[in-house]
Amino acid sequence: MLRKISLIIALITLLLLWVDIFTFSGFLQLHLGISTKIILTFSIVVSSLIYLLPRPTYKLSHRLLTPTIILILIYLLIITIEGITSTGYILSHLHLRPEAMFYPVLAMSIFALSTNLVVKETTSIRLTTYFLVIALCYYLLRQLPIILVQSSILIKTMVMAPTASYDDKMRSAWGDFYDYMVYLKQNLPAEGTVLGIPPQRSPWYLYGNGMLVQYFVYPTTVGNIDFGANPSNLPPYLMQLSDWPPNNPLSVNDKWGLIKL
Amino acid sequence: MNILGIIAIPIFGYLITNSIWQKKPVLENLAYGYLLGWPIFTIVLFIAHLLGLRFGLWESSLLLLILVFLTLILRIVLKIPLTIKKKSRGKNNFTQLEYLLIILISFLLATSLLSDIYRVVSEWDALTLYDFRAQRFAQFGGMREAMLAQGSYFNSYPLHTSLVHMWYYLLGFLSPMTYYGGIFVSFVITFYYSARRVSSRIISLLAALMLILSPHLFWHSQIAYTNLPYTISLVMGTILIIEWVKNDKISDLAVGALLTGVSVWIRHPEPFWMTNILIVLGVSLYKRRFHPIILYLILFLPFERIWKLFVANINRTVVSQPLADISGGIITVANLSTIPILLSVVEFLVRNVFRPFIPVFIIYFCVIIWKLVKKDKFWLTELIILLNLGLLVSGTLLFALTQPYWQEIPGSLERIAIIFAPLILYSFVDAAGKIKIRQQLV
Repeated sequence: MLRKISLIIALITLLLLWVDIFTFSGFLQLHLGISTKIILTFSIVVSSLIYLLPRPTYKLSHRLLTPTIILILIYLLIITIEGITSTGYILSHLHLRPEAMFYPVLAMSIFALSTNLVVKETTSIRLTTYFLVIALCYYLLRQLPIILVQSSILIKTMVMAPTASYDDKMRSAWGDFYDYMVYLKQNLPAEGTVLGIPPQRSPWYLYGNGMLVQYFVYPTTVGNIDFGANPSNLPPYLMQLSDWPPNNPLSVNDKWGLIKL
Repeated sequence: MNILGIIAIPIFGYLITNSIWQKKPVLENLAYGYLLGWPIFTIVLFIAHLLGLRFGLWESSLLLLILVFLTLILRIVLKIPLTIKKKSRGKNNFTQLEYLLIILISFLLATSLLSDIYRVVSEWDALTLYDFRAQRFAQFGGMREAMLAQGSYFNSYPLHTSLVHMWYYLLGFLSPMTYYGGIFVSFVITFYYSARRVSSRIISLLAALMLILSPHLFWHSQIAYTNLPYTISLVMGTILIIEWVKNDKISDLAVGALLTGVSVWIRHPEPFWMTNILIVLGVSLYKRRFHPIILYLILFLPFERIWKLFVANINRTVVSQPLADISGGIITVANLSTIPILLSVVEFLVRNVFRPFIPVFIIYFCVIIWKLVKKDKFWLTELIILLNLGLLVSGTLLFALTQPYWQEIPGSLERIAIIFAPLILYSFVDAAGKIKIRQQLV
């Protein structure tokens, strides 16, 4: 009897957790005064009690396993779709908040496992095993969506541009900076020279990174020039940005150039 | 044809691992072959270059051929057969859950490999250091030009991944990224087999999946940083040392020492290799047998010394000694009032470095509780994790005491911390293998 009551309480708490997903974050807090996290903790405690109660388990708990696995798969699918489209895609199309699904899916997984996992040990070991299983569920449900989204984005990138060239790939990684590096390489003497670049401080952290610029313009060597400190010698070439060097003729609407001294 | 140059290296590694472990499955030996073949090739390439060999395609190919032939001759001398052990074709009887896990693992590994075929080297550190050196080596056949262009930056990390990239470029490949996918796949395979030795098939498959999911690892299989190869070598070296403590097989200790040495050949600043040496020394002293520690040092030290000797030689300085470094570090920490800084270091680590690892550390905490309740007597894995945590905290403390900008590099520290996830997962597998489950799920 106690086990049946616990099962019903656990199921109600599991259903309650879904309310926030189809409404808005904090709906339960606003109307019932209870936060989602408290309901989650409560459902885990109830699941633990069921787990510790004497056997046999009821058919209901056995039947919960398949829906739980299906639920996990749906959750992963939804998160993946959201990851490869845009934030809010699922909310606008299915009217549910995918990021909030984590709590009910976690609670459901723990509940389904707790009512089916039978460990042939003493009560203390069974209880610790049970908490190890909770940690496992938490780990898998936290990490799996992250990796699935990452791998889906990778697949999407490959499918969208299967014949992308080296330049295309570098441009997608570095944006305009890469185009400027290609421009510099093409316009600097092939045998190499010395190129003056801005000091590596705000706002030139990227363009002022000597090692990075050198990767692209080698055999040209690179040196940081700080006009604030009145440099005595200037190199034969200077990087030309809209805000560097000071008083350069480049209009702010132009992106870049190269100054030959 | 060029692909042969890439395939030849894991085959060379396989010839070595198969000589050491003749009874292990082919797949496991191949995976270990990948983990060992590449670094042995790069370190020999480096030594040969110091002795006058040019970094050219024909010279490097000839060197690889010599290595393969030497291994084959050694096998003939030691009368090790070249036959591949056929696996008895019994029914595997996979459960539905096991099939699901295998599909997920295969999908994620295939994605990683496919993506690496597609990708190019494009990350900041990879471009400025590792790939820049590789391109100059391949272009000029030597290290001089890269050293002149980079100055002291050249010495900041050993040459392993640069030489791997160089080999790809010499063979005509546009990108060396498949090396990283390959090493990741090898890691998952070797980890699975190690887990399988202490646990059931389903738990081992679950552990392999959890390994792929652990923070940063999957991402690092897509980028050309040294953290992934370093982590893999160190973790598998550590696991093999744990296996040696359990089963007393000297072959496990030998490969464990080699892999720990390889980790230092990939990244030398991290101090985690000290834990392994301490464990081997402790066990040798406990068992009153000194040949394990002697063998360990013989196999480990060449990897540990070579880069330090090279850097000291070009800088005209004295080679740094680990014991002197440790005592120097202890003196620095002990001489100053460290408590306030220690607290801010711990706070910094918890807030900025350990956050992505919270799910992993929850598992670690549960495993410790489980072992306490179970009154388990084997705590070596947990001890190693704790020692490595201590090294991370003390290393950061030392860094904080000597460098004013210490709080500006949380990303680097986070990348260093990726070694903890696989070790904790191994500790979990070891514990989970002892749980007696009467009723199978599904």
